[in-house]
Amino acid sequence: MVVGQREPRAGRWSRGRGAVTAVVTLAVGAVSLFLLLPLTASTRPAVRDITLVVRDMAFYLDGGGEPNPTIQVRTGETVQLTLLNRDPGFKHNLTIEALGLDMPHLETGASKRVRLRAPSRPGRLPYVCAPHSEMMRGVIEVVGSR
Amino acid sequence: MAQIRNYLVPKNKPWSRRAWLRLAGLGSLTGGVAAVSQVTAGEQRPPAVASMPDHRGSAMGPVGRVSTELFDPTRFLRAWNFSDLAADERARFYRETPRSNGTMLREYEIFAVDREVEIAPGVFFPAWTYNGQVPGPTIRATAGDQLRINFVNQGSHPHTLHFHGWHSPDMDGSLPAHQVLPDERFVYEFEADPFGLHLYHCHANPLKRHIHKGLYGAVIIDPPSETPRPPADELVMVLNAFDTNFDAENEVYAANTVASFYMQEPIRVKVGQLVRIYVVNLTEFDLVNSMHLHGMFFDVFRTGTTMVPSESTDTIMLCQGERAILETTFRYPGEFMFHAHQSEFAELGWMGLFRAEDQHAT
Repeated sequence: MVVGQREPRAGRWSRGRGAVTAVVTLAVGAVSLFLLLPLTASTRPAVRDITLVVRDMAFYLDGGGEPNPTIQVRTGETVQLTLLNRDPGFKHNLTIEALGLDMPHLETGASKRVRLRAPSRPGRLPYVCAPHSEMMRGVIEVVGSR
Repeated sequence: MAQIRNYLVPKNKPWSRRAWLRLAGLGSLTGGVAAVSQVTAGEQRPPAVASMPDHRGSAMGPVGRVSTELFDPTRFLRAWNFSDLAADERARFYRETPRSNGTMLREYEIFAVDREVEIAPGVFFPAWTYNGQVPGPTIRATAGDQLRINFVNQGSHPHTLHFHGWHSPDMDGSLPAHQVLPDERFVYEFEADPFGLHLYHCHANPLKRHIHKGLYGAVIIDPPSETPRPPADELVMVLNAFDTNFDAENEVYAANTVASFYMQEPIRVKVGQLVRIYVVNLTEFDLVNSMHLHGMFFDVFRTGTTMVPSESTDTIMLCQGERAILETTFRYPGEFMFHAHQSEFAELGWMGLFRAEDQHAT
């Protein structure tokens, strides 16, 4: 830009055209989202949150009292799984070999969240804490959707 | 602050450079108002506190406290067979089944696991532990009982359980063939024999490393129930030490792991009541350890294998693996020190207090 020369201002007409385009785009977007809503609701149920807390060398469901519980998921279900290490002085992780999950080892107080998709066939998937796999092991039970 | 101003600044003089320096020096040395009152204005010699460290108070033991959430040395003193756990939690680790001959089958779940333990305020030691604690859980049975220890190694190295006492060689947990690899299990089973005070520890190689990392605990075998020891307030003390920089020398010493803990939380006992102390030495790297009790004498039952004391003294020496039952009765209320009579150990943490209270006191 040459010093002293002013950039030409956008004219009244061009500014108006931009605004109209934006409004139309928004409107079309909103309508199409609204139309798609029933579709998404039927094929993609809300992702379920599951939190596993580690204490006293065992996994517990958040608020639960059963060590190393059996966790039920539906075939094809997507779950958001959080591991929370509440075991002072210990490093723990979560490994589910059947799903190819091998979390890093978490320090006390650390947590890690992963998204998992259950297989399309029913079955039993063992889960373990890799460094303490003899004491910290449970099963994820994959059951049919209906 | 007004007080400091009066001492340091003559009212008719402005702030001199010297006065500023003196105030700054005092602030950094003592951080307190109390010491300032020893200084008078106009004197040229430095205040006494500047040249002489304070030998009172904090010179004995560390500053601050360890967390007792994971391991409480006070609870450890009087806990055996997982009696410190709530009933449902205890059932995970200990079961007893009466047998037809009147004795008991006692089953234990013991696991080896790596864990950081706090051995002095803010000092965390990367320990190898039995059941997450150092010393490991105290095992207690009556002579003739059957002991079954289900051992699972959840640690990062091969480990074993090696018990002192009568058992067959395959239950010894000492030879390379006896090593239990990580994620493997082994069941140790033998009769509780003889009665006395014994111990267990890891016997994997290198032995000194596996012991000093924290893999040890006490075993109390009570005499047959027809001839029990007289009732007493019973305490378990495992003498141990920690090599925090891995130079094969210990930096921190203790009875029951936490340096100087019983200086800050004296062990409460009753005047006139028999006190029985089960002392096991598991200190690595140092040739011997010892225990000295102030203001009284105690009876010594070496290895606890007799009902008659072998000596009466106020200082006992123990090599590693050696143990003794001590019995005494406090005559006077008040605080009584106990510590290693290697003064170096005492000042590095192996020192504590008994607080004797009258029977009626709470």
